[in-house]
Amino acid sequence: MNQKYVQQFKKGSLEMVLLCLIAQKETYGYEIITELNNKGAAVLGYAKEGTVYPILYRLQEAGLIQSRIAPAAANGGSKKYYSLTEKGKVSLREMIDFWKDYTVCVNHFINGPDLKEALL
Amino acid sequence: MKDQYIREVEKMIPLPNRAKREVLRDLEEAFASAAEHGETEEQVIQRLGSPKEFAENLNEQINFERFTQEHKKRKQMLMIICTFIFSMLLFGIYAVLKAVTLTHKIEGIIGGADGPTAIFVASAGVDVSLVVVALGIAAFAVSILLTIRYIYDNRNDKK
Repeated sequence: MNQKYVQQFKKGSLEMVLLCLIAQKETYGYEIITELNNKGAAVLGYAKEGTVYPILYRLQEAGLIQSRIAPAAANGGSKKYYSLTEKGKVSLREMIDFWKDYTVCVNHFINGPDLKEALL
Repeated sequence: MKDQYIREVEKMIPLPNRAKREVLRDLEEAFASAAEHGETEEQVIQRLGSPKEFAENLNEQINFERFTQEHKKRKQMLMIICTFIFSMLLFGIYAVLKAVTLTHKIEGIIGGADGPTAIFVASAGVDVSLVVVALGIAAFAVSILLTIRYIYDNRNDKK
């Protein structure tokens, strides 16, 4: 499929996907990337730090996620762990509700009565 | 390679120091985590994109413009306060000078001081106080103008 469409779809959903990952457990950058790639690479394409990090900054700025820095045992450096805030929980619930309505609505068009024949 | 990359990103993100340090720290973490999993720095850089691409992605999400705007606002505010305090200071000095020359004049009338000294003090006092009050008015006018510009700029921001 044309990469432009993929980009457009991703733009609208990556934020929500990130919130879902962070909501399930406190997690850090590399783990987020790995999870995204394990579960979503086939459809979403490979996740990149260059795309994900900036979105995390914005989500944090918007108060939907919070972070704490903890020393990382393995490399002597530190890791930034992200978790969902109360505001983030409320927003994510709203997003999920909307997404469900949204897909039902779009599916309605996809399953249009004459569409199958039209696309033959 | 990693250090070079981070240095270049640093040059391309016009953020306040604290935010900038945070971004650079996160990049360090990205490289360190990847190294833990046996990845090379090249692989990480490939995912981050070129420093320019990374900066553009960042700008798209958090809008650098806003930070520079805030910085400009703070600077303007500081200038307004400085010119205002400066003008008040000059008015204060003017008031003191006036009070001093007045008491001298009274002394002159009463006849406490001899002629030449009284004239000297009076003429010098008038000159200096005029300059002081003129500067004070100028500084006050500047602070008013800056305030008007500040309000005007912010009104444009909101649109």
